[in-house]
Amino acid sequence: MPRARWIWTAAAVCAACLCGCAGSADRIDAYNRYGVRLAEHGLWKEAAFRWEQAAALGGNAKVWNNLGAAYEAAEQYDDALEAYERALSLDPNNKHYIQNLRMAEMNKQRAGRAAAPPNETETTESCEP
Amino acid sequence: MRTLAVLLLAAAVGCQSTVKAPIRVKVASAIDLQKHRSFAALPFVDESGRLPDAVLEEITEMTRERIGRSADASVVSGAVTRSLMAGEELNAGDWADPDKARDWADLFEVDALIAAQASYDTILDVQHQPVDRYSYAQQRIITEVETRIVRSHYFKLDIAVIDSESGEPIFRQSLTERYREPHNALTAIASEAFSSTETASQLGRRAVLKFIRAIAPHYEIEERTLAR
Repeated sequence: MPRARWIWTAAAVCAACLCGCAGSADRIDAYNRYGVRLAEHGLWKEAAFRWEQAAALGGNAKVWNNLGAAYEAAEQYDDALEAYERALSLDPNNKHYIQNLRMAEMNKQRAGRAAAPPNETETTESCEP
Repeated sequence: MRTLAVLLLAAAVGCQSTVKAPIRVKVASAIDLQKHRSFAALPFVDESGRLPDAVLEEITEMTRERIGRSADASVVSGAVTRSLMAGEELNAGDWADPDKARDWADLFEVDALIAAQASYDTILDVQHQPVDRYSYAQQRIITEVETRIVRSHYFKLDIAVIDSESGEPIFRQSLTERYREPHNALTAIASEAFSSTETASQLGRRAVLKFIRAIAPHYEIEERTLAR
């Protein structure tokens, strides 16, 4: 009898863990989708808050990528790069994350570009008839 | 079958896993605006000998006015510049000499000088291009040669921001603006006889705006891919 009770207890604990994980994944997904909708309307601060909540629940590659974009919109380039790199560590071959990371690296350089050494640029613009 | 295709299309659109969202990206000035706060724009010099003084004066004044709009920057006015430079002869490439550049910067008591040389050229070009058309007489598509007369306008602006202490350029940009103007035989002859300065002026203003954009902090809109 004690053995049967032990098995039942272990099964209940496993079931609770599985339910908890599934619930957490659903909440991460819900926060992420809501954040995307907010970002589409330009509400980046609110979106970042949602994605941070999703990240606190464990996050995933999507959440970290989106959080990177939100940090970039807030001009927090170091945080943005860290977030993009985290997204890439979870999904290394995602071309969108790679592109976002490259753009953020470029923008960090541009934002910090002041008192640069003598630089010369060449621009050609044409206007066809 | 059509319903199935519509449903599949709707599902594909609905299940799209990424979405593009615009973000504002801050682009800093190409020069250190903490260090260089006061500017003097020397009169722009014409290298080609084809630009009227009025056009040069107009784009120089536009440069002063646009830089003066920045809260952090002060610019010596055109009137003061002209009075201080009275009797001075400015030639193309003079500002490449650091000693001269330092002297001018001392004269204006500024942190940086803006100097430029411009050149303008127009070329009338006759182009022959193959054009396909359907011939009713021959009942088939035939290729004919169409002659087009195009006047190309080229405006080159070599512009630099020169540090008052070293006399060396801290930012230099070479901008080439081009405009191609379609003509027929009559308007081509008219344009040859009565050349207009309006195109040169417009191209010059466009080049100045690009330079201002490079040295003024500004925002640009970029797209980021979000995953859902």
